[in-house]
Amino acid sequence: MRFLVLPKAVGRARPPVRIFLAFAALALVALAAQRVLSGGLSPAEIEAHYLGAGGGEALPAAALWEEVHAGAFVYGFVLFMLGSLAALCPLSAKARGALVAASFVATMADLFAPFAIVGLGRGGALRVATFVLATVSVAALLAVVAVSFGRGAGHAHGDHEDRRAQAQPDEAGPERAGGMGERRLPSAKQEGSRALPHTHV
Amino acid sequence: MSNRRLDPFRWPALGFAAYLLVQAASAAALFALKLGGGAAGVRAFYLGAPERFTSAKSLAGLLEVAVPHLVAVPLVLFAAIHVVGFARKLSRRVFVALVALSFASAFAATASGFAVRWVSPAFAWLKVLSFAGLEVALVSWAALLLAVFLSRSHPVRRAAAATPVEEIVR
Repeated sequence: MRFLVLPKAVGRARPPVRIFLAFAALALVALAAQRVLSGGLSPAEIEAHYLGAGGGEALPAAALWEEVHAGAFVYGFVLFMLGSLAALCPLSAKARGALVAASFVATMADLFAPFAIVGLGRGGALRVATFVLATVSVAALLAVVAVSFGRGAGHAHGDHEDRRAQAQPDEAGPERAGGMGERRLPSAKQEGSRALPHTHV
Repeated sequence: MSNRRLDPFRWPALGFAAYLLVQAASAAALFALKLGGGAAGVRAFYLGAPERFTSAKSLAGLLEVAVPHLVAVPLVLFAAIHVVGFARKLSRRVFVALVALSFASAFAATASGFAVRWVSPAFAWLKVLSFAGLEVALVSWAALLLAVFLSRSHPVRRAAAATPVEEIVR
């Protein structure tokens, strides 16, 4: 959060953000593959899973809630991270809000679709739709962030200020970065000179 | 005084708050469905109940539930606390109390299952109380996130405004 609200520090946040995005992309692909391999694109297979194959018993409520419980953590955390990083991308606030809202609605629908299937006794196609929408919308959000953070410096908000601050570290004052009293994070150059006080002369 | 730097994070934070509520609701549903919601149900769940043809939980079974929770719960709490702490919506005392309640409940809720199984059935009450504490904490953090990010401009406490965030969180 500190890196995100102090845009001048975004340059130094770039490498860990890229690694996070790589893992988020892997997780999304793995999740999608897992769902596809277990019949996630077939309404009939989805209905058989939740309602019981060949007139068997439907999944108990506890199993449905367990799915919601685990999914809420994964979706909630990944969306929070991606949505926060998207705030630094060169997108209009409206487009960014629409992308985050679409991902939120699609993932929520995907989490709760099994209850509709069990309640209605059918509706496998609904889960296929929510799965596709959730995957596509989260992938789109991830792609937007990856494009901004994956390219060289200068494509996320704050990059220009970051370079200017590193070139002239004393211009804006060493301690204050904004109106809330945060101390500015030291630039990489300042950190280096602090770590090696006798070698930079 | 307002903290406009939080404005771009409104939608992700509101979504995160909604997911916190879903986590709290699903946890409550699972607690009621699987553990019965009371101390007797907790004892039966961990120690087994002949009338339900269930056996006592094994160490592997308890770890299967505990391990993901030991990662997920602190991570979610840390994220929520971090954002609310940054907004400085609470007094330091209330903030610290809520942080303590959150992490203490999270630890006790996980540990008490093992305690019921291997130390004493009396720890079933600790399981119920710690679960309730964690639910209160999750709902409180979600409510605070909603309060911070639903207000048009985010108010910052006057006294806290001059204090760096790490001093409040400490």
